[in-house]
Amino acid sequence: MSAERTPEDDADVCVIGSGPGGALVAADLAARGYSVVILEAGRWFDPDERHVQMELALRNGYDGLEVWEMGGERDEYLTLEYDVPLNTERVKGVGGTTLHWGAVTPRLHEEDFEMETRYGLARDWPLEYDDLRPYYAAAERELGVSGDEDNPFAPPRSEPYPMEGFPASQADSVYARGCEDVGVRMHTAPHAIASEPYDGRSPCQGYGTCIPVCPSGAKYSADVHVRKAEADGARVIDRAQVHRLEHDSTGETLERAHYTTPDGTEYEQAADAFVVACGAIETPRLLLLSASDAHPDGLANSSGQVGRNLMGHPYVTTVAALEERTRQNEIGFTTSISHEFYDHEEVPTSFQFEFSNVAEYAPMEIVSFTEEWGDDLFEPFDTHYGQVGSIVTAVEQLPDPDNRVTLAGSRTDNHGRPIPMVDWHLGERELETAAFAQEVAADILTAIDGEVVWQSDPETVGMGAHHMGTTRMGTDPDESVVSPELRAHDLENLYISSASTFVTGGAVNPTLTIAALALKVADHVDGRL
Amino acid sequence: MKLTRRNAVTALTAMGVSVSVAGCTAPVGDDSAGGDIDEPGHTTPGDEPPVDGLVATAETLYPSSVEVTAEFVETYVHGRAIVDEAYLVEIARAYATVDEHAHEVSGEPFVELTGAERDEVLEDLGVGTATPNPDGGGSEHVRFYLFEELLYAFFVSAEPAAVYDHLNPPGRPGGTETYREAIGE
Ligand SMILES: Cc1cc2nc3c(=O)[nH]c(=O)nc-3n(C[C@H](O)[C@H](O)[C@H](O)COP(=O)(O)OP(=O)(O)OC[C@H]3O[C@@H](n4cnc5c(N)ncnc54)[C@H](O)[C@@H]3O)c2cc1C
Ligand code: SF4
Repeated sequence: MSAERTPEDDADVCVIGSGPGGALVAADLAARGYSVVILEAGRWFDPDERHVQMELALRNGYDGLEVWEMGGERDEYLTLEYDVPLNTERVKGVGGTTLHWGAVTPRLHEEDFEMETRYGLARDWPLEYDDLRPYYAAAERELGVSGDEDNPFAPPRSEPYPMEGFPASQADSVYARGCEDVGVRMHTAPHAIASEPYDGRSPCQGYGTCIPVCPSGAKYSADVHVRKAEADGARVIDRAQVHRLEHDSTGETLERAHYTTPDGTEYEQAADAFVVACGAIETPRLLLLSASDAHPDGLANSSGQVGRNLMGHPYVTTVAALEERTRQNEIGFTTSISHEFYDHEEVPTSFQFEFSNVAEYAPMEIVSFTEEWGDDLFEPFDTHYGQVGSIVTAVEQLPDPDNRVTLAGSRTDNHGRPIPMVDWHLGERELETAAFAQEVAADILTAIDGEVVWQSDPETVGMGAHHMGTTRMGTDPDESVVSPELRAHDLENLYISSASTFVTGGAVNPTLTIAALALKVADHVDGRL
Repeated sequence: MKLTRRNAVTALTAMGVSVSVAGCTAPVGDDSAGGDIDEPGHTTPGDEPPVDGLVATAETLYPSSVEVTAEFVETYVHGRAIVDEAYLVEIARAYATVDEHAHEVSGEPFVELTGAERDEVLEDLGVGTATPNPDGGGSEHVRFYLFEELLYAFFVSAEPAAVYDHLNPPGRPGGTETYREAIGE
């Protein structure tokens, strides 16, 4: 954790970005004996700070930015037609956005890899589920996933989860009655949250603040693997913003990553192989910023696909006032979900239901805007606390080349580099799916005598925190940016480890798949070196 | 329900302050920040908030079913000061604002007032509608350092079930059982 930010001599591998996409590659390659350097735009957050961060989140009308110090010139971006909030949906720090995430870790389903063949939609992945299956199992071990095998829709697996899952909540038992009435099958969700001591991590203590911060360390965050990489000799340079990748005279081999430190000093890091793992917004931005004579439209962009096909999971919510109480805010994560509508026949795109255990404001939040005290302080709790339920839906979004990340011309960041411009919208299919999901969610809540009091407007929810698709994988260099080995078609030593390589995004949370692909990247880099 | 030193220790442990108390069985997290409250040489700034004043404030804020003790507030504020040295000074300043206002409104110190009179002082000061702000003036500073501070202490230290049926509010490491418990009517 030194403040020294000069480059590393003789690095075999330079990893850019230290979220799960970068950290897992770095830890794997460092363990194999390679000299690895990690360049990370954000800072180290000491685990000892996490109680203070939790308090910040609980006490002061948390705006989603403060806890991980997001926002400001470094993180600027522009949006066009839709206002897509980005900075509450990502973190720049050692460990990346997993410092903030909810840690739900399902696998993609088999059909997600074969959307064109099965349904004539989008494109197939150049991989099958079976190709990723051993990597999924390894990723679950690395992240420490707790789960139970009760999901009737899940793809096949050959080994149990590393830890037992968290049982369904009291609130789930209420939602379950509605689901049964409507014919929706619920099941538990796997989480990268330790249910028992695991790999030096504490089991979950029930702080209930998983998003945005877990003070116990039970929730996995990728700084775990950055530390493992360090222990195996890797060097981490934090607050190092990479702004250009430079190739040799042939244009086929990368030689250096140019980065800027907080005082504005620029350095160059040389390496034999480069792994870009900056998430699906900053990865295409960095490639576009690295345009050269040999790559006039941006690095690795001979296909013109860099930045295109940006996908998210728009999240729509249905909230109901219930006749009975549910235990809300006694745990910070969702325990039950449903993949009943993992389907492209009845519905235009798939969706995942998440049954909320945090449908109500937390007590401290209620108190922070109360104007009463003494015996009146608990009046909201006495009368109806917990008489609320909500179902949150993640909607699958299909790739659309017009949803894209480009550079915002003259608008620049703290070091004078063009910021990303995000042009994103929802298509008819996704809107239709969202409307259908909202109807089913309302039916479930009505079946338990709930009165629907609020539904989010799919037109305004934005793409959520799952950013995918902007440097997609494929076998045809005219249509895709990276090969099935996750190596750029146009450069022999540039690898991408990110959901930006996803061809489609399914309706499940993406990070376990990011982790599985990261372990695959490590194998390929090892093979090459 | 009586709030004792033990409740304060529970709160501090939840906040990552390690507190050594003989016989303490506070929930143990895997990590801890700050120092040790019983550490030899641990000093506190001279500008300390009066304990009776903090007890009076807590009694006003908490429901009447809660009995506040001096050891509770004392342990709590000194524990907090381990992590942030300026903290005691800020609490003292916030309390001074309230106490001065009590003198202005009724000519008496805050601790001497009845419950209803204390309510009036806080209301008159605008604490109920103020936005909490550690750098703000007057009521905003009081809302941050007294009002929310003491309520936060309450939520993470007390057995809230005794007041309303919520067994493990966020911020409290109350384990992974309560979210599953049936709700008794
Ligand atoms: C509130 C919230 C809840 C979430 N919940 C879930 C969930 O339950 N399940 C799930 O699967 N996913 C969830 N996610 C998404 C998950 O966090 C991301 O999918 C995951 O972190 C992406 O991993 P990554 O390594 O690709 O990118 P990130 O984790 O975003 O890491 C990228 C890193 O690259 C760094 N970087 C960027 N540009 C540069 C540059 N130019 N130079 C140097 N460094 C750079 C950044 O600073 C950052 O640290 C959630 C996200 C949020 C915000
Ligand atoms: S409930 Fe969430 S925040 Fe609390 S210990 Fe478990 S994972 Fe961490």
